[in-house]
Amino acid sequence: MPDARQHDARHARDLVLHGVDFSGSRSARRKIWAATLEPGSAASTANDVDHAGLVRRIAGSADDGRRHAWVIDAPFTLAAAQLDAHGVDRTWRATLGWLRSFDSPRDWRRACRKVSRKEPRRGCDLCAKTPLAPSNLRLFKQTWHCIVSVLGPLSEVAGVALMPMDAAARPDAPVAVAEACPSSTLRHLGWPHAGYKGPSDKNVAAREEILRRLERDEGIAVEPGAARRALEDAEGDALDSLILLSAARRFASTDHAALLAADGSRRSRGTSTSERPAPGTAGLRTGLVARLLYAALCMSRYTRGPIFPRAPGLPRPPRFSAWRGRSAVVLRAIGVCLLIAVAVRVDAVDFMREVRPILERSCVRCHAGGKRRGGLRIDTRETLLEGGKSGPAVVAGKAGESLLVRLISGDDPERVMPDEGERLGPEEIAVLRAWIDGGLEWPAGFTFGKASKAPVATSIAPRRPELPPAPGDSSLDNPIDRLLAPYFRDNGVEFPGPVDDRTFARRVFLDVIGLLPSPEEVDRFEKSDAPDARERLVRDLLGRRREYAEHWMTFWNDALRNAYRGTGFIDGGRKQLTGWLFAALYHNIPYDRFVRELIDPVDGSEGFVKGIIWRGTVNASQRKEMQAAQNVAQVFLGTNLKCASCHDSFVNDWKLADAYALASVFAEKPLELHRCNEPIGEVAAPAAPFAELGEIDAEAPREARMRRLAELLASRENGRLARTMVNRLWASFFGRGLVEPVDEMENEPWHRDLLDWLAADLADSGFDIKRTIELICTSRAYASSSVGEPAPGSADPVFRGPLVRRMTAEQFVDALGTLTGEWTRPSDALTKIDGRGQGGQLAAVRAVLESQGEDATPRPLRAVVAHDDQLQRALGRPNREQVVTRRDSVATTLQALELTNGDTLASILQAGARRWLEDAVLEDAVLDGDALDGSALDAGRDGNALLDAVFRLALARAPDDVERETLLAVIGSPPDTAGVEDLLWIVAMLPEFQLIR
Amino acid sequence: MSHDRHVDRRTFLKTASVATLSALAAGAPRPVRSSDEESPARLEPTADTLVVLWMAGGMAHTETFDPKRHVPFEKGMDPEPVLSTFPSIPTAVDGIRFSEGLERLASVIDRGTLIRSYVAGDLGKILHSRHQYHWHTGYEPPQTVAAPHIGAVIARTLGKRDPAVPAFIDIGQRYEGNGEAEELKAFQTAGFLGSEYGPFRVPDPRSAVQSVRPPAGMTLDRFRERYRALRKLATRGVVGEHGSDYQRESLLRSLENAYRLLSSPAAKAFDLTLEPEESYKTYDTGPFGLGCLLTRRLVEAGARFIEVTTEYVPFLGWDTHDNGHTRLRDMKRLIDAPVAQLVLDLEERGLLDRTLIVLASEFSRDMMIEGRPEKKVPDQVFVPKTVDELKFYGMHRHFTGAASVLLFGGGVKKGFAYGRTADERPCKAIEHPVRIEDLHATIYRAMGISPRLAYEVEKRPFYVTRDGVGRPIDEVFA
Repeated sequence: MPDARQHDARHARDLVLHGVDFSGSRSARRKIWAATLEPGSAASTANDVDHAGLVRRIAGSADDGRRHAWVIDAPFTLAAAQLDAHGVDRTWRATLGWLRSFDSPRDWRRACRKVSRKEPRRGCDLCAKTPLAPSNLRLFKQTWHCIVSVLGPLSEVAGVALMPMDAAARPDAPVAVAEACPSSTLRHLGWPHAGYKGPSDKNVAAREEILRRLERDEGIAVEPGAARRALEDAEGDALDSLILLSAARRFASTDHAALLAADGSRRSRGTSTSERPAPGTAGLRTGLVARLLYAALCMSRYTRGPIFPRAPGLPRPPRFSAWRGRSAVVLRAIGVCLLIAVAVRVDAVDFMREVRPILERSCVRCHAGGKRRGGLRIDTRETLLEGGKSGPAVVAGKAGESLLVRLISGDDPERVMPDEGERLGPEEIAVLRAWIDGGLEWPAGFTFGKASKAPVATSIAPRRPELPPAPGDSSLDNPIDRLLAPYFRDNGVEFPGPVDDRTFARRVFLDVIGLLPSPEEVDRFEKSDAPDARERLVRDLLGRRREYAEHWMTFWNDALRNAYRGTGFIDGGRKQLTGWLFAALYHNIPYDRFVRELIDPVDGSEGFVKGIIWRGTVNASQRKEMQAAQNVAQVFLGTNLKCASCHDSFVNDWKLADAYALASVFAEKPLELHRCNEPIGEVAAPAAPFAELGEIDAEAPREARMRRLAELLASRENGRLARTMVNRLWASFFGRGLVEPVDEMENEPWHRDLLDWLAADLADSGFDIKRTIELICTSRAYASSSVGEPAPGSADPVFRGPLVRRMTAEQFVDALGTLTGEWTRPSDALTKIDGRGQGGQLAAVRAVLESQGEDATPRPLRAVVAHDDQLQRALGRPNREQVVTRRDSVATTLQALELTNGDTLASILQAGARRWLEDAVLEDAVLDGDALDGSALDAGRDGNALLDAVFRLALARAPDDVERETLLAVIGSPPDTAGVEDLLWIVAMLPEFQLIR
Repeated sequence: MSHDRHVDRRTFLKTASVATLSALAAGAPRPVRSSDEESPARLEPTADTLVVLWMAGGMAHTETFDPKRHVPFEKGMDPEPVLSTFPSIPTAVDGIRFSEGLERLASVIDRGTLIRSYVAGDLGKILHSRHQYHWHTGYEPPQTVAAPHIGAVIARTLGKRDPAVPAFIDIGQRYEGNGEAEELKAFQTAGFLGSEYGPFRVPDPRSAVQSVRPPAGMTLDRFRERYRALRKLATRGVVGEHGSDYQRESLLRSLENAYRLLSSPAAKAFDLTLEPEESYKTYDTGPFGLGCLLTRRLVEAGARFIEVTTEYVPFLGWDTHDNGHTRLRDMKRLIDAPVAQLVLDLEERGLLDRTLIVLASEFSRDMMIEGRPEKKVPDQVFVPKTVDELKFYGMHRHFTGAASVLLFGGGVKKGFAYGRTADERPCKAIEHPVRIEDLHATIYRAMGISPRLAYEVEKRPFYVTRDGVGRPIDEVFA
């Protein structure tokens, strides 16, 4: 006799799992999703069978010599009360025969309702307090088709056992089919089980999380194609089929007959009715096993043979010993417990994460954003409570009395909501019920209506809110902290604690000047006992004008599309801003002047409104005047005019005429409006986007119009200008703006007073950007512990401190320079401008420095000044064909390939390794001529010292024991170039190095 | 042995799919469902792999796949009557003739479809890279959002075919020293779809293997060791003081993917030195020919999208502003044997049925007409009144009124010609004109993607064919 382990191994090897997300729809071929997991490979999915096809596939699976476990998300049985009411025997055969006597699901339901309007639920449904009976309006088609079209034919197939009915009658069948429920499966696994259906980022992230757990926790790898479909299928059906694989596995490893026989003593107690728990089972009502038993017992009447043989002579189950332990029983129990159809929510629901997606998908189309079908608007909590023609839609706290619940659960024979599109699933109904029962939580200010995007005066006028009183704690009297204190209080969040000096130093260096601090700078700062050491450090960094300007060039090159080489130059259709921009940043010219000079150009700043002109004809929405309008609107006003430059916008309230009005300011001749590239016979009059700022004389020459526009947009009355800018700064330093996305300033900020106060302060300071940066960097909020960036879609709406951010390509390459001493070398391509106006950016920068009497030559060359190369491109430096206001921070495979075997990085590291070993690091590695201390002198000879020096430079700390041990082995003894090169690679690849914490 | 390989693949599969997932979910653009179709993204595909053979620079149709009246060179000749500078040859299919120099392709056209009536976009003045942008994205530059390359759309929509082989491989285009490199970069990108779907670039097929090997001078053992050490250290400790570890996980996962590719058996597909000598005899007509050989290996390994270009360099390759006749002889020699052999090799391996090969160019050329007959653009090339030197004999002007496209495999008809062009100048499309959106729709149809599939960017839908209007050419499908 083979031992149990061998048996298990064979068991796993020839077992194929199938999960079926069922549909009762006539076009079931597309809606039925079947997932398959072959032993040893990844799960796949398909939606290519209809009901008959599913039968063929299940029956056919009996032929391949292996064993197959199928689980299907549909009711296998009906409620006993219903059978009784119709005089049908309480057996599964009779159930099938009864259902078959109807020609269609509809006829069956009609017959049911003739006898009784009550829709009795099964025992297992009751037990789980699920809202839907098998004959419910939302389930009846599935039920009928599952039993009649699928299980019926299958019950004739010899090798197929329908569970639990055939558990004892066909113990050796190679194919077993059972009922299971995806959301119950998720609950039993303890995974997130709500909010994974829907199109929003959060829903997608929830689906991703489930897929990840399937792989990690359940060992169910999913084929990329299947995974993609599961993510893309907003209904969640594709994913449900994969989730069911987990149920199938647990189901398949459960010997129901044995399990129940073992608990046979309990079975005899009170199972006379399958409707409600009999008194005798009270003791069983808690715990998984009890529910499992109860669920199974509820169905005991419907078997073709006895499901629980009373005779003790049951063949010993091969894995009997395995479920003696409580946990094993629980695991096994899940298999049958999944028969319990639907979850009921008892915990509090999260409006934004769970409720909103459901309402968005199923309700707002007809009941929000200007639509009020049936008189009902659900834009806000108030309008929802107000209700429509049929009275209040909900009664807060009482789901059972709420019209909404009646309509979505199909309890009203006349009407069911939504009346178009997919009906709500049981788990979604459960969410809404719990939400209503819980008092109808609704975040303040949230609305499903369009946030007002009309450019009204109140939305752009500057506003200076009162600062809350200074707290007793002097470390929190920065205005930002004073404004945040009540916010934290209201959100029940402690004011986050400050980070240590080393972390702060690294963070603020990278954020303000884009460079790693030298070890000496960190030490000096850490040892300083001045009470205002942090303030001093921030001011010192802001005073490093060259490095500050170099760092912020990255930001502005992206936003202003300033490329050193690019499309358009070939025909003189583009112009660099490099010299002007560097000077503007170096001198920290007031931001209002900065904007004026870009809109109404001075010498060197023409490139921004000039745009990119390709040879040949272009779409009317991309003519150069329109590019100027789009970019002025996006960069300075934080609003999207792109859609409106082709037709009245669908994404905001800008009209085609608004876009043309702004474009006309930049036009040589009057512009004719084109809708979707077709002229419409109207000519635009030039105007600024916010009419209340003032008018522009249509008769004035182009230059005068541009000057006027510049005046209007950069005026103190245009609060939007400062708000947009401080929001961009906030996003740079905290990882997320006060308003998101940063180019949609119409959206509600999470802290309006803070946004408005910072904007007013910027304007009051004479638009001194460095002043705002200093305010931010000296706040406790900025010096707080960082928050790991959440997975996409699961962002915490509450601000808790700066997000951990990834270095930009330029920061990373500069950090490599600091670490290796390898910087870009000056070359003709950088110093000489070519015939098309490309290149020469280094010369432009140097000219600015020399005019200030700065020695421009001996310093290292920053990545921002270099031409982009494969490494920088891979790390996300954009090609500047479009305005970019936020870099994509996702790590990609192509990026990692570049970091793993790219020539650029490899040669930097090789040279760096040699330098470290040759002690050459003293001369070249560090900016400003600051040198490493004496320990580096010995670095080449002593692995320990070298390791310390590398860590202090790269991470502003010493290695710990594990790091020391691991890396000393890498370096070799004595250290050699290859070893040091590998050390540098490992350090540079560490998330701690690449992230700004 | 095979067992190890299996385990390796399986482990990799897990990491690969998770990484792809995170990229998918990372705020990356989502597909948008159009209201008039239930599920526009899913059609029954007839091909799993797409190979684009790019004839960069403007391949004259009358000198290649749609020959017209041949007038041999004579000193002092009138250029006007010249429609082809080569005689035509018969092919394996009655009614289809090719230009001399394409004998091998002529012998395999019974496996494919010839579209004679492609009409390039009307973009005003000629700028090769701008038309190439248009061909590869379906959109005219400039655009307010970064339009993705067709390879990126396929990579994003269908994913990798084999988890170890990059979904979008671009072979043969170097940027260094190229006067229009920036214009090429503008469309050889995944654009707003995100760089996860961007091209895995193999600028020179001869050194393809370098791109999937550890850095020069590093042994595989050392490569493994340093990765092992990194993993050990990187998985310790916390990155943020609180909150998720999403960023660290995503960094590590991407590195894991890269490491797996470099150490996986699939990397061997990139190594042309593993090919027998005889392969070189047929394929080695230059980098393009070797690119075709590499393509065959990659299709076998499970690639999803591959583009091989004859390489665009202004005034070189198919961009014949002079000496057209002489240079076309060389260009045809460059493509004839490798492309025909690629078709035969894939057929022999049973892969042609599920691989669609598309051979195309941004526009055609003519001796006299610049632009299109009804809308000429300023001449860019001087054509003398009488042709006294051989260097003036050839198709030197940019013609957008018609162009030829070859399709092989992937469910298209065999030995079939679609569309017609005029037999007298202007030799423009006179039957079934095919626009870029229709050609793309046809390609997407074969790959099982609806032309109305859209991805959301900045809250608006961006369709895979311009505004979703592309119509597949049903007639070319078998």
